[in-house]
Amino acid sequence: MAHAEAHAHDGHDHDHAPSGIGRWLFATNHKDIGTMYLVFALVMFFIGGAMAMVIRAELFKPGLQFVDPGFFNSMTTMHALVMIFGGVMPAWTGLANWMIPLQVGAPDMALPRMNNYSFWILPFAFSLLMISFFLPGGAPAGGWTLYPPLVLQAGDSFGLTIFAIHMMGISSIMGAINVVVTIMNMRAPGMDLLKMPLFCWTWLITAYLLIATMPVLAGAVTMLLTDHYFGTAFFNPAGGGDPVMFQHIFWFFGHPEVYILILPAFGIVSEVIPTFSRKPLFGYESMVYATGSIAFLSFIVWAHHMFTVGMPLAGQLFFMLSTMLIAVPTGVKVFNWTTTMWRGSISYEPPMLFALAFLFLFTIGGFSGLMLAIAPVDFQYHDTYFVVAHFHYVLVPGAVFAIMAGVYYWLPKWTGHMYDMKLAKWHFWLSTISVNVLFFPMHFLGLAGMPRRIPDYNVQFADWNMVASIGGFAFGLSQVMFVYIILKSLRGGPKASARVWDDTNSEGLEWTVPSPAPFHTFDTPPVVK
Amino acid sequence: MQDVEKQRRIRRTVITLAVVAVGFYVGFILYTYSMVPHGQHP
Repeated sequence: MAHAEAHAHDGHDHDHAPSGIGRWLFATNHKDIGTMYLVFALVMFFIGGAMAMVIRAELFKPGLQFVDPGFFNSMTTMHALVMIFGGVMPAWTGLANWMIPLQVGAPDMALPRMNNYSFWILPFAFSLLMISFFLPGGAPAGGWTLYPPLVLQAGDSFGLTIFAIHMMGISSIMGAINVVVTIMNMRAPGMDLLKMPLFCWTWLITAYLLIATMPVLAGAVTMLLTDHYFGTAFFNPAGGGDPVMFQHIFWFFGHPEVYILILPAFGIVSEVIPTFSRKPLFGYESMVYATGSIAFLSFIVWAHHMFTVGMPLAGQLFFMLSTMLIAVPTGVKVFNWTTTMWRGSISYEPPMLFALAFLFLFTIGGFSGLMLAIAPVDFQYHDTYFVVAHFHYVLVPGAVFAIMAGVYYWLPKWTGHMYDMKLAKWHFWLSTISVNVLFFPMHFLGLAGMPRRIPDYNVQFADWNMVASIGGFAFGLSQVMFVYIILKSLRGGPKASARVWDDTNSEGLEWTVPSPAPFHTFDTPPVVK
Repeated sequence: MQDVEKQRRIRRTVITLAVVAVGFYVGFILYTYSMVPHGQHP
């Protein structure tokens, strides 16, 4: 890992930030664009969260309470699309924009104007998606996986959804190209690849995954579009097509997508744990190779999402065993994080708390993933709430907690103020308790046979659904604290030093620039020893 | 700020990655097209 030996040479005033709305509309500064991505993601988290509240309110007790089943299906579909493409992915891109140039010692992203385009595509894409609520037939309701033939029965929203997905894909690909080009070409002298902070490494690998898989999704939805409007039969058996082939293509994108959502989280945790354990990261190189291995394996496991379509035994065995192999590099990572903490002088600031929760709760999600990887067992679990519990454990206390760890880690660097530690710890404990009350009972519901994506259910599932809904409302409410803490820290608070976490092991070039980070940083490349 | 060689490297990386992305997009559609029966049906 690079030692922060660079000169804090940016103390003199470089703050020639443009003013007015133009600063944001025509932004080319990586920090401004990063901020816009993060604000956009936060708004999307609340929109997607509101949809989750509708789902949990409807499922609070058996019977139909608030919404009709069609709208309920729109809620599950849109919740997923908004959270994945509008929440988690833009949050990672925002963190990448803010931190990668600071961490590699570059003055900005390599392609600042393309950076602006990739951000500004997103609000338009999501406006299209949201407008579909008001069209005949309502918003898309066939699930975020867009399986034909069901999705082909959608109303007028279909075209808008496909167009929105194309735009999100273009935005992600442009963002990914920017990250690769920045990391490969803009590193400060002496910043060898194996000296880069792990957040940069995990993002570099994520960016390659994005470039390889988003076009596959785009291809799949283009074919859906032509099937729907132009009479082709890629996935229509009546014309000789095959709906199962869509599932193969979709999951060839979809599984690497899962790692697109989680690899940057590994990077954040790999930064936070050494800082607050006051020890260097254990096994830096093995972390890099484990990330690379996970990325490679993510391309050869896709059919574990579709064991029940009736594939040959050899296929089941291959996808079962290749999926289980992912536990090896993931285990390396969990081992390294744990070993980093071993005999460390640990302190429990909010970023560390979120990273620790990540470590425990993501591992629970990983274990239920291993259970789902067992093909004969998956026949029982497939499309039940067990799957919902599994992927929410890896995505909420996994990806989302890591985003929160990252925000709490770098927020003083962005605002120049320390935030309210006490409130942030409250936010942590309320989130951690409620997220488990929300998602853990879903394991029981799934094992008992409750199917996913249903607005009503048998009375035998009533108790745990009620518990999960209470957890859901508590988790949703707790997130209001997060916004309050950020706004409070923007308004003021104790001044943060350049190092921010002064008596810790924080390493990296971002801690050599003043807090808040000036508008322009590293105009002269720092020297990394 | 950036010398000519660096700009050339950046351009080369961008073009390579863009070609890969477009290649995957077109490739997957053509691959799927090849997997389904098409043309005149009896």
